[in-house]
Amino acid sequence: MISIHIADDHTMMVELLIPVINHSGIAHVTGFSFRLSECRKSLAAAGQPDVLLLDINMTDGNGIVFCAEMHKLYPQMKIIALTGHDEYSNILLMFKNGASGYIVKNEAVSEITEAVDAVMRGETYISRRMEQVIRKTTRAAVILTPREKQVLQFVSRGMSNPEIARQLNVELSTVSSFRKKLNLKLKASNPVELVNNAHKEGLIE
Amino acid sequence: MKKIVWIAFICLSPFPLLAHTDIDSLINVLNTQVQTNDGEIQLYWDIATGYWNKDIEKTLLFAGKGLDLSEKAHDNLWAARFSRILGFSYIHKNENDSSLYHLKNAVEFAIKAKDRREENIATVYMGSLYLSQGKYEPALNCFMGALPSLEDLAQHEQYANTLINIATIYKQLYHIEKALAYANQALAVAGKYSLIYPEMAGLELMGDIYYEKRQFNRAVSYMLKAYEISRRQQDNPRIITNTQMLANAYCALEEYDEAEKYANECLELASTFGNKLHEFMGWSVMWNVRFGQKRYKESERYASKMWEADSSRLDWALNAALNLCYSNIFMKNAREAGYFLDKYTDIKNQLTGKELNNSLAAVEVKYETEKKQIRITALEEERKLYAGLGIAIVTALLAGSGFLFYYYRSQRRIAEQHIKQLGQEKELIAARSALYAEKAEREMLARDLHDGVGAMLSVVKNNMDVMKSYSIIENAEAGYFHKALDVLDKSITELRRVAHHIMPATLIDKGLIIALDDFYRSIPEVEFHYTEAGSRFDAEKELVLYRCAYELVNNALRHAAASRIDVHLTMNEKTVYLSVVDNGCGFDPHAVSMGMGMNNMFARLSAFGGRIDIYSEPGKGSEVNIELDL
Repeated sequence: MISIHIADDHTMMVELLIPVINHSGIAHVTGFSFRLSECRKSLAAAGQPDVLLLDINMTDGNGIVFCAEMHKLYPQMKIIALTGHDEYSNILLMFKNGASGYIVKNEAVSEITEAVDAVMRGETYISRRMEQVIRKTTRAAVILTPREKQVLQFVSRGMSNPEIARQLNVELSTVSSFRKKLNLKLKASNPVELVNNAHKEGLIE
Repeated sequence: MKKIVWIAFICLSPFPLLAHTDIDSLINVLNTQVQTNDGEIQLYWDIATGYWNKDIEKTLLFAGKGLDLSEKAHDNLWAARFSRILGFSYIHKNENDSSLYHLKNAVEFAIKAKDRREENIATVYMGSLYLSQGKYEPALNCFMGALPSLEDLAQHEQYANTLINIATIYKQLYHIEKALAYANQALAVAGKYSLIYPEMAGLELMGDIYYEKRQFNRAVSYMLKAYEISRRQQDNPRIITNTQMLANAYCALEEYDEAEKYANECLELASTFGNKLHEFMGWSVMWNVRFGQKRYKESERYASKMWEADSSRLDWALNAALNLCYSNIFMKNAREAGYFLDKYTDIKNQLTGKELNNSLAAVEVKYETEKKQIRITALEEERKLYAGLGIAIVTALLAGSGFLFYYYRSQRRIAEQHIKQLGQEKELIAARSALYAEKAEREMLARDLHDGVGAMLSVVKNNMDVMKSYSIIENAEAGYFHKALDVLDKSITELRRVAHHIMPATLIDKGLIIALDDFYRSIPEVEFHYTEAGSRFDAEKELVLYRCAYELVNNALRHAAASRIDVHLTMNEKTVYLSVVDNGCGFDPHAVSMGMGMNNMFARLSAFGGRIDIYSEPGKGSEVNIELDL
């Protein structure tokens, strides 16, 4: 039987999860705490459970930091985040700090057994509704907006800022704003570098 | 070392001074003899003016009676005089609203009585009131307005006083040379006609100006002359001011024994005179002395008295907080020093906001309502003054808000332009301070929603999941149950979205890039591109940019029906560039009126000096570029 400790400051949530876990047939709740400090003491006194269900937002501290502390103390113990936060950055941090599972609170009852089972098998578990967030990639090579490309084209043809401003029918200051931004994006400090780097990135022929 | 500047310098004519015995005998006459109306009015006048520098409450009492009587007798000239002395006394009590009320009446009564002399005097008093409140622009209007007429009617004393007041304004605005010129002119007039009060006031001002120029020896020599006169005149308020100035000047010269002598006199007189401002001045000057003597513990006691004096007076509290901070630093009470430094900063922020708004509002209202009355001949002169004044006031008040200078630099020539600009500034300031307050409130609201209501809804949802798993629902009800569960699920998502919209928690904790990444990951249509994650920057600016990015994407999704949105965030240490490009239906930027969200965004952005360029054509998507200096 898998032993579980719940650390969550919402009593109702804890009261609800205990019977659900105990009736699952694969695990039972050996302890629970409403504060991180309580949890720390309880684990030290009663010994580590197999799984710690840990809320991120606790009254007396941050679960993300606490996760790292627990992971260091009890490397064998599996930690599953149980939280109302569904931001990617939180998942990233929890996993970085040693968690193996991440369940959003809405899905606590329906996913808890599955999650406990998965982490005990050595896998990771993340709430299904977070999948899209996880899978999505950001960051690519240098990407320019249509307008930036236009300005870049004009620069590569050797046009001056006033000429470009006339061509695009915008103010001169707008053009210089674009130029500065292009330099930044293409890591260039002068027009020659800009055009060279743009060639390298395949942004202009 | 910090120095306390008071705008307590108000130059007004004295009233004929009577010894105590004279006043007593007058009261006796009033009580025992039957008087004609005119005679009684004259008696009230003599008593009220007789008391003025001895017991302000009595002056107020008898002047009030005199005013009642002259109003009953429909004597406008006397009514004007009594209104004037009432207004004058309230200036000394720092009750500005009452003062303004009576002085306005005084001018009106004088006009009704067709007495230009009395009108001039009342006008100059009004200017002095404005001056005491730091409202230089209306003050200058009063003084400049009355000046030619004062000269015409050979009201030498008032003329000299007015010159001094004008010099005072210049001094406050750091036009030291001009201030000196006017003060010298006033002293010359005072000397020519042997005018005691203008001479004293002129000497005080010269002392103050040289103090400002940090020529303390010279300052002391003027202050001593002024002090001698105030002693001869037994004018307590002026003695208090002069001793205070002398004590401060001797402190600056590090001659603490002399400083202590005058500070003690100042404090003693102030506490017997019972005027709050004077008491405050007394404590502050004693603080100065004790601090200079390195007797920090004693200095801290005086600063504490200042701190407890009147919490509603921000300018007092500001001085008190700084003094307490200094004392505690040297007493090595780091915690207290820190506490009062925080207080000082808070008050300073409040004060700049408040003063700026007050003076801007005053300038604007004044300009609009009285524009027509300004004589054309005076216009050229006043134009120059307005421009200089406006800039000096704003820069003096807002030194530190560097962004203001940017707007001001080039356009100081013409008053009209300047006034218009002040209006814009006011809006920007208002927008920024609104943002401040709003941010704090939103943070709290978002947390309550997310961690409170959101968490509870989560529990309900989970309870229903339990019910579902135990199959305790009858088949017939299953449809309703699943419908309810579905709605509940959506409600929770919606609540999270709302909470996030109110104030994204990750933005505060982790900064703009991570917050935007979190946000955009939940929207399939958005691709987010950014150059390497720079460090965090100003929280207010992060919030403004986040709101822009949020609003633009929302717009593209909701109104432009875009299926692909690219968000670019590019930044270095100096500037952040944000671009949002969508392939939606596009619009004509000139024809479309922006929604509230967008307008809000523009307002926020321009409050921080950001710029925005929008390119769009119907059917061709849109591209919005934002640039914000850090």
